[in-house]
This record gives sequence, C-alpha cells and structure tokens, in this order.
Amino acid sequence: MSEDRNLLSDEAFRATFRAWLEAHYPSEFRQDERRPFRRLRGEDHLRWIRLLHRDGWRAPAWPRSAGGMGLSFRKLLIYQEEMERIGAARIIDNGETQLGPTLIHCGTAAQQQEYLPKILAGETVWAQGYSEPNAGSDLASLRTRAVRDGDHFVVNGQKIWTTHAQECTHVFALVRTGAPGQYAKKQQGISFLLIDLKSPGITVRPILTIAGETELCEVFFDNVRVPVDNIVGELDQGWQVAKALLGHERVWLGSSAMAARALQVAERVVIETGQQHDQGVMDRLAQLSADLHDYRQLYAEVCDALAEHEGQPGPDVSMLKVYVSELQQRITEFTAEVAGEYGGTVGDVHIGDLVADVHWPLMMARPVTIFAGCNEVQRDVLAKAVLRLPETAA
Amino acid sequence: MTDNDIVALLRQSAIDYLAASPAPAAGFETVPAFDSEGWQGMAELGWLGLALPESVGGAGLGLAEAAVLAEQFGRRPCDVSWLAAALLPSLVLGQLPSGDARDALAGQLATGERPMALAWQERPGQRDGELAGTSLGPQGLQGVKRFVPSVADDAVLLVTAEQAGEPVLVAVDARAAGVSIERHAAGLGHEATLRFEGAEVLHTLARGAAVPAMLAATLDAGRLALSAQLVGVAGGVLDKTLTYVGTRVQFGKPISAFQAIRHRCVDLSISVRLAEASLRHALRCHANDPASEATARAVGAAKARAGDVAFQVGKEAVQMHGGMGFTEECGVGAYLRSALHGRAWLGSSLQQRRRFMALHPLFREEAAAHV
Repeated sequence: MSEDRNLLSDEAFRATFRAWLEAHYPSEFRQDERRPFRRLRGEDHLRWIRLLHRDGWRAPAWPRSAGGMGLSFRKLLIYQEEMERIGAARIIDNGETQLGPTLIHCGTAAQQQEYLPKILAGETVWAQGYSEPNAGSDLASLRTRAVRDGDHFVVNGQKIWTTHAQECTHVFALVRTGAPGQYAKKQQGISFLLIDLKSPGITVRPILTIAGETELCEVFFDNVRVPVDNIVGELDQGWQVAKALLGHERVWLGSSAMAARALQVAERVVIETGQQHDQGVMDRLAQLSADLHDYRQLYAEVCDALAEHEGQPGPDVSMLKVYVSELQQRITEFTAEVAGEYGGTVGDVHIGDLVADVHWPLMMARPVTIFAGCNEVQRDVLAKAVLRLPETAA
Repeated sequence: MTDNDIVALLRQSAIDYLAASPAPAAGFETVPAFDSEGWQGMAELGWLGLALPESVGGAGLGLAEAAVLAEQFGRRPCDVSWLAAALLPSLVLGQLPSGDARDALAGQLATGERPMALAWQERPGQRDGELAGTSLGPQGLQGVKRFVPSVADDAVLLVTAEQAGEPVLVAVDARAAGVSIERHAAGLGHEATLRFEGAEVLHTLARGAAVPAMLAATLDAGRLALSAQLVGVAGGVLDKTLTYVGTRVQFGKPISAFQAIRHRCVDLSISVRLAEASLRHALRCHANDPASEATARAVGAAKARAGDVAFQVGKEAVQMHGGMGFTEECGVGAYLRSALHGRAWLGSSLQQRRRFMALHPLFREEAAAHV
C-alpha cells in the first residue's frame, strides 16, 4: 500500500504535492489566455489520471481501504489549491468524484471489487446519466424506464447533457423501475443503474455547444439489456443513493479558480489595449477584482468551518456556486467589452503580445449558472432551507 | 475570561443597552445635537475607553472587540458618535507616548468627562497623509476642518495641522475663542465644519513624520470599525425585512411566497455574508500587521464592500416594505440613511476600491496616480 500522505503536516503535504506537480504536470495541459477553463479530453484525460495513479495522487477523497488517499478535508483543500496554482486543466472524472463514493457508501462488496480498481487505473471512464429532455432542474420527472426481464433489466429512454459520453466506457444512470401508479411521489420508484456503454441498443450523439465544443451528448437507450446485479443500493431507492453523494460536490462547485483565471485574462486584455490609464475601465476592473477578493474570503471561511468540524456541508453552501458562477460570467463579459472590436471575434485574437480568445470563455461561462442545479433553483433552495421564508400565511 | 467570553458579554450588553435607548430622530428640521445622556451611559458601560490602555483607565481591548460593539450600533441603528467621539480619538491617544497631557486626556475620554473629535480632513476625498491648509502659527490655529461627526460643545478637538512646514497634532478646546462649530445633519446624527481663526491650542501632542503615520493607522482602524457598523446596518435591516416579507399578506399569501421577493432576499443575504467575510479577513490582516500593504488592501476592500452592501440592502428594504418603507415611521429609512453616511465617511467606496486597486501588483503605477 502506498505511503499515507494524510500523516504529513499540512505544510509538508502542500510542499510535496507542489513539487510533484511542478515536476510532472504536462505543460501543454495548462490553462492559458486562450483556454482559461481548459478541460482535458480523451487520451489527454487518461494520460493524466494514470500519471496521478502511478504516483499515488489519485482519488484524494476516497478512503485508503478503497485505494484512495483518505485525505482530511483540509488536505483536500490544499490539493485543490495546488492544482489551481499550477493552472492544471479541469477534468471531468465522474468515476472518481461521484460513482466511487457512491459505491463505497451504498454498493455491494462485489460491486466495489469490480468497479473501484478500474476507476482508479483509468480502465473505465464513467458518464453521469441523470438529466433528460424533460427532467432538468426538475430531475425527479425522469422517464427513462427499466423493466425487469429475468436476470436483466430492459432499458428504454433518453438521457441528455451527458458530459463526454462519447469518450466514456460506462454510464451510471437514474432510471424508473417503479410500475406506473405504484408510488405517490415522483422521487420514488427510481433506481441507480450501472450500464456498459458498449451494450447493444445504445446510441451516443454529441451536441455542439455555443462555445464550439462537443462536450455534451445525448444518449439513447433502445431495449438495452443490463444485468440486475448492476443496481446500486435498493431497487426503487435510487433517489436516495444519488442524493447521498452530493456531499462536498457543492463545495467544489464554489471554487473561485475559474473566476480567477477569467480575471487574469481580463487584466491582460486591459494592459495590452493600454486601458490601464482609463479610470472608467479601471473602476470596473477594480469592482470585479474586489468581488473576487471578497468572495475568496467567504469561500475560505466556509471551507475552514467544514475542515474544523469535518462535517457535511449545510444547505447554505449553495450560495457559493450562485455567486461565483455569476461573477465568472460578469468577468468574461467585461473582457469581451473592453476588448473593443476584438470582442466580436470567434477564435483567437492577437492583441500586442497577447494571444487570447474572448469568445470561448464568455460562452463557456454561460452554462455555469445552468448545470448542477440552475441558479434559479439554487435560490429557491436557499430561500426555503436557509432563510426559511414562509410560503403560506401563518 | 477567554476572548470569546469578553466578546459575548460585550455583544449582549450592547444589545440590551441599545434596545432600551431611544430611536434616532430624523434631522429634517433640527440638526441632531450631541447626545450627552447617551454619552454618560456609554461611559458607565466602559465603552468610551474600550481601546485605551488600562494604565489610563481604559479597557485595553482591541479592534476585534471594537468591531463587535460597532456592529451592534449598526444593527440598532445608531449614529457614529461612539466611533467618532470615542474610538477614533482613543486610537490617536493610544499611539502617543505616555505623558501628562496624553494621560490626562485619555482619562477624561474614558470617564466621559470630555467627548473628543478627530479633525483631520479639509476637503472631500483627501488622502490620509495629506495636509491641506490648516496651520499653526504665532497667531494660533487657522483653517477649516470638515466632515467631523458628533462634536459636543465641550469636546476636546484633536487637530492635525502644519507648523513651519512640519505636521503637528494639537489638542484644542472646542469652547476656546477662535473656534466655531457649524453642524449639519448627516446620517443619523450630525457632522460639523470646524473653523479655526486664531484658536489657542491646549497641547501639541506630536510633531513630524509620526503625525501622518499615526493618522493613517487611526483612519484604517476606524474604517474597520465603521465597516463593522455598516455590516450591522446591513444585517439589521435584512433581518427586519425578512420578518416583514414573511408576515405581510397580499393576494392571500405572505409576500415571501413570491419568487421575485425570495430570490432577492437570497441575493441580499449572500451580499451580507460577503461583507462579513471581507471584514473578518481585514480584521485578521490588521491583527497580524496593521501597517502592511496586505492590510491596506483588505481594509480598502472591506470598507467599500460594507458600505455598498449596507446601501444595497437598505434601498431594497425600502422597496420590499412597499409604501410603508417610504414612511419615516417604518424605520427602514433610518438604516438607509445610516448606510449613506457610513459609505461616504472616511473614504467613499469608490475611493477605497481605487486604493485596493492601487496596491494590485499589475496596476500599481497606473492606479497610484489616481489615488
């Protein structure tokens, strides 16, 4: 078993990880002014997670017994900070961030043995199959159905917004297993099902986004046969299984890293266009800069409190994502505006010594307020669960 | 007692005392006078010498405790009397070396015998270290100081001036010949314009480079206490508004049932959380090193944030209270008025954000020219 890095002091842990990143992080993967929110795809993604795995830096939040690093929340924060510091590209690694913790929490021993080592080694890459055309923010309205047939389920339906599905080997999906009329509430009768994307009857169709990317897909299921053993948790109890893994995800969604990268691009554009002498531009940049500065203090406070109590985050952490996603948008919009006529260019622009892309970050910042619970729904949740605003007369 | 005990006791005594104190009167027809009765009450609670050393009769507490008290003044809401007439002067006196004049003044401040005022500013937007026209010569003190809140008739005025090209800090009796006090309503109290026409000084307390340094340190500490008061304004008026929208029934349900109201309440509460976090960060920076650039940036950010958030929540509170919010009786207008004053005093949000930006590593030179 690898060295237990959780035993290091926080400072030593930071220094060790920083040194490792500086020695091993591929420079071509770093974020830059063209791709401030760069995300690794395909072979690049696999190369990076295999490198992490080789040197014992994979799955920082998983317990050591499951092959992870078993880090404290404080060290998880340091891990994130160091990744951000070096400008590491984001990776969508649902197997590590979502399925692994779910299997550790709700899976059978056989499922854990079957799936966890392959996730760690990058042998399987998992997509998340939750949203459907008519079940977005209102996820519990999902209609993809799995009907029992002997020792298999037969799955029919459609998922959408399935990130990187064309490069994934498997999908974990929420499917309706309860019979029509069997349950009173739509959250009941849903099961959490593991599906091999090579199964006959599956069609994956990439969706071109307004940022010019094909990160999202539609996945169609046409009489797809899935072994009954692939249910995680109890039959018809998939909603609880899916909810249990949200945990710290909502904290990571509040990271200021993308807003910080966007602000660096904004600053470069202001300087390369000589607008650092324009007080109007500088006052607006100062507002954005102060917004980010103050937000970082709030984020640090929330994280410190969680680290101190090692507890699960409360509903109030949703405020982080609401604020920082909108800040990221405001910054990319400012950049496009102060870029002047360059603001209309689709693709790279050359301004002085700077090669930047003002279109891509602005477009990539749009879905940040939509995914993982759109900001309107987040505000509904905050009004109810945190402010406890009455909805009916007392 | 631990620090936490002291903070909890201080907060509770402030809540109790302020709940029993009269609501501030609007200064539409008469300019609010200095509240001498309230001053004695605060003296008895030990608040006037809160930040003074124990050797001169103070409580020897720090800025963190001052912020706790200031926040409660904001939540009530109150004018800035305590901050202007007690805290700022005590921070100046606390930086002076011990001596007869300093010790006597500190004692008079702590006991409530003499309210004080720090008169440093000649014009709006003035920089902390800048001397702008008040001078001390053979004919006494000459000049005009502005934006000095809560000046009692019998105050001791701590005045910055120039004497033969050198900065000086002097104490002047507000009742002395050659001193005139012209008050106008500002926020929930008043601000004074002080005219010195050959006024005699009681003491010269400091001279040379120590004076601007002392002033800058005092103003930044004062900005943090003022930020705390503004955070209190924002939090106080938000609480009042959340209660109101949950009980005001229209169309058969509380108006808090409407998404237009719910979402705005969420945004306001996020703003208040940001202001609190920014303030706590600045207080920590200040505790580490009050004179560092990091502290200066953090103070600038915190003051700008607290002022803007108090104003934002105040005006939204008026809107969400509907027609009632437009009445003086409702009380949300007092929060808004308090926010307007706090946001402007000791450097506007715009000025403080420019200061924050002037210390940005990439824009140091360009921005510094404007601050």
